[in-house]
Amino acid sequence: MNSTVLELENVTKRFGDFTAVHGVSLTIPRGSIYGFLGPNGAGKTTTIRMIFDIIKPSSGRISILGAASALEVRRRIGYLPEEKGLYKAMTAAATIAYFASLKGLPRKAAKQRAYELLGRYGLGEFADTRIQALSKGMGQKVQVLCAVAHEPEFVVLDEPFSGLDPVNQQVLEQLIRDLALLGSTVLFSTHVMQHAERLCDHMLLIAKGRKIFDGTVAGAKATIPRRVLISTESSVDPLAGLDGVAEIKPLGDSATNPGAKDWEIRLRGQASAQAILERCFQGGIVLRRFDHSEPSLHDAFVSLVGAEGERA
Amino acid sequence: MRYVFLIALREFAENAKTKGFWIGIFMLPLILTISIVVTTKLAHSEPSRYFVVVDKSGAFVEPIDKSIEWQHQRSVLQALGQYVQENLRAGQQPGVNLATYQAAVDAFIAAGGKDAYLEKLRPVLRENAPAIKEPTRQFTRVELPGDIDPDASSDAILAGLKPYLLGDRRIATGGGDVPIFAALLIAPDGVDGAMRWTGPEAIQYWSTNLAVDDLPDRIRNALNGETRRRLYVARGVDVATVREIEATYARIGAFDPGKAAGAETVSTADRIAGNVPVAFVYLLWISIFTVMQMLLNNTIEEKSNRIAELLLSSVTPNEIMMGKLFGIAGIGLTMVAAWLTTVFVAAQLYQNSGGPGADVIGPAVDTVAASGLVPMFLLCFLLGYLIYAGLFLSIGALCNDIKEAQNLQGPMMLIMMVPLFTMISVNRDPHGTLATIMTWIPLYTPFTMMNRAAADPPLMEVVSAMLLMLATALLLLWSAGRIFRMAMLRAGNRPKLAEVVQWIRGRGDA
Repeated sequence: MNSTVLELENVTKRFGDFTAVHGVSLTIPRGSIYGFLGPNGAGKTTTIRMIFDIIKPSSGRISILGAASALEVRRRIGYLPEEKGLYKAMTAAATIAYFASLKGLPRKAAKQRAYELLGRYGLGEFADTRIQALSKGMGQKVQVLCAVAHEPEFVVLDEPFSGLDPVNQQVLEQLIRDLALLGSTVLFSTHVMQHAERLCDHMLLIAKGRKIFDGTVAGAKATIPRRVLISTESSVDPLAGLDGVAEIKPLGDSATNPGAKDWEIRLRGQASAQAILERCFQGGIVLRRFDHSEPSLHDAFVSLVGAEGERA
Repeated sequence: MRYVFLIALREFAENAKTKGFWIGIFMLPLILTISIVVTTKLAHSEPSRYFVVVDKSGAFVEPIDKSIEWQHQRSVLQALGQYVQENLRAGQQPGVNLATYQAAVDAFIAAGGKDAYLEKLRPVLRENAPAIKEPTRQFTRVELPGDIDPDASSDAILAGLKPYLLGDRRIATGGGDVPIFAALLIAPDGVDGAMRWTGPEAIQYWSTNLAVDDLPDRIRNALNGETRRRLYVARGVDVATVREIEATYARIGAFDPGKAAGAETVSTADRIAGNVPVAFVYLLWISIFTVMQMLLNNTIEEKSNRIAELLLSSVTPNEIMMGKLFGIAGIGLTMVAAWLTTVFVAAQLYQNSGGPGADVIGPAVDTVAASGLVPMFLLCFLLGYLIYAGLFLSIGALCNDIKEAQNLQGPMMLIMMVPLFTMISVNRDPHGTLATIMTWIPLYTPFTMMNRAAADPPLMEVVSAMLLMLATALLLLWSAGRIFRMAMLRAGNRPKLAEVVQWIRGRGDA
């Protein structure tokens, strides 16, 4: 069995004069939970639509489960689009069964699977309720179940957490883990880093249609230089000549310590944060805050995407 | 094909569950039944209308009364005819003439009217026959209201009558207080003035409701009759002889050379069958329009509810389109089949019930069933459906919501109305210029060919029209396929016409 489920090779998509995706390449290993991250308008949905052959790339090559078009392997793939919607007059079970049957499941088996999934994910009593009578969260759960009811090898979830309350977000995170445990490969796009941080093995970060990072979550965090964040009303000049300090960057007035200013002290190589703290005491710098925690994926995202990411 | 079938099945099942579908199935037969029953009942229960005649010439009151009474007796004779049909013993023939042409009505009145005829008819009627219900008098002449001086001038009388004519005042009658429906004012020189076509009118008819022309017609007949009688007398002509001659009624047999030798006679059933295409055109129009609404709504639902993208990850745009096309066609055919079955079953039941006109309806239905009009209807429905489906699928795919679709649908509706406006003219002259032009406008071909079907248009023309419809349908569906593929995922501003043309030509970004 092929060890990769999806390969994109230098894929570009142009709409008239506008280039939505610039030469993106990626490889998704089988069995992984793969995060597809980027600010709004980065080109995530366009890339996913090309993966599913809903729109054609202007150039480049896509291979999904070894096929040139997703329609050739439609029974083996599942998809939750970013724009979510269902037939309002159909019941939850009929909806799931319909989409599962379009994915090749026999109609009777599709119906059984629909009831089973709705029961497993807490919607058993709403199985015969029309979609229009369900809450937004319930409707979204039904749509996720539509994407996975036929037990696909490869599932793509485009912004699956948007619009869900924290409890349902947890349910969805569990569903993604369940899929991975059952051997499915999951690609999900998001611009909320916490989900990616908790779920992903690998991630691809794009902005303005270009690939910025492709690798593990730890690898993404490692792209950020080690730094110390401090808040003080004093001058930070005593830190300037210290060995191991690469850059002192003002961050502006402190939001949490009135009258103080926030500073980012970037460290060189394996320089010690302890030495910074000692120099602060020696130099009479009155500290309101001293933060040497590990950078989060959010920090890495902001750092990698830069100003474009800040606006997202 | 499996995916097309699954989509078609869903379209059929979901639409068949809607109230609209079932209302559609039952509403048309229900409306037809109600229309017939209500029209018949209303015709019998219409209240009498009251009018006054101010005749300063003194010549016309009696002729008018006679004319109104004659008309009433004619409707009594007509009701008697229906009553006899409903209550005649099996195998019996009525021994009196129940037709309603002038001489027959005159004979009816001369013989003593309803009671005299009933006496003669009793032996051939069923024993338990109910009593006949005499129709209400359509018009009743009343005297001037007491507060108006009949000797006053015409202007003064008219001024006094106006509140009654406008409904502000009512006059007391045996049937309660009623408004005066109309007033006829005849000047003292009315007899000579009736034939004067210059200057002020010697005879004036006043009413707020000039749409009802039965009363002025009756009055005109009476005035003409009396004026002519006076002229005959003045010139020494024998009035009785003239009346006798005027009562003659020519008999003209109608024959159709297209019918089998020896059976060329055109019966009432044939005449009805000749008009049936108009009913079929109407049915065709309603059925195509109804299913187009469903097709449009379903397409827009998938676009506005963002279902399209989920579908497109499983099936191709063409599979979606074909599935819709077949599913909604199934709905349309079910509806049409239900309507046709209802009409044929109702006609059969009515024929068996022996109600008024049953002897004509049976043969008319048989003529229609044997005429090939039904297969023609089904063919026109299918080809018309495909043509309009091509247009409505494109509209549905191009619009973001039903509101936008309604804007585009407006012009389409106007275009679709044309066959309704022209259906009577085309039926009357099925090989005329209008019919020929309409035949070759593809959007109207299904309706026009249906309308012309009973007139046996040349086979070559029928085949060419069918090919034209098929080619148009294929072209429009092919274009719709291109538009559908490009437009289903598009949101925001509606594409411009030039962009749509580019899509149809296979250019565009997708």
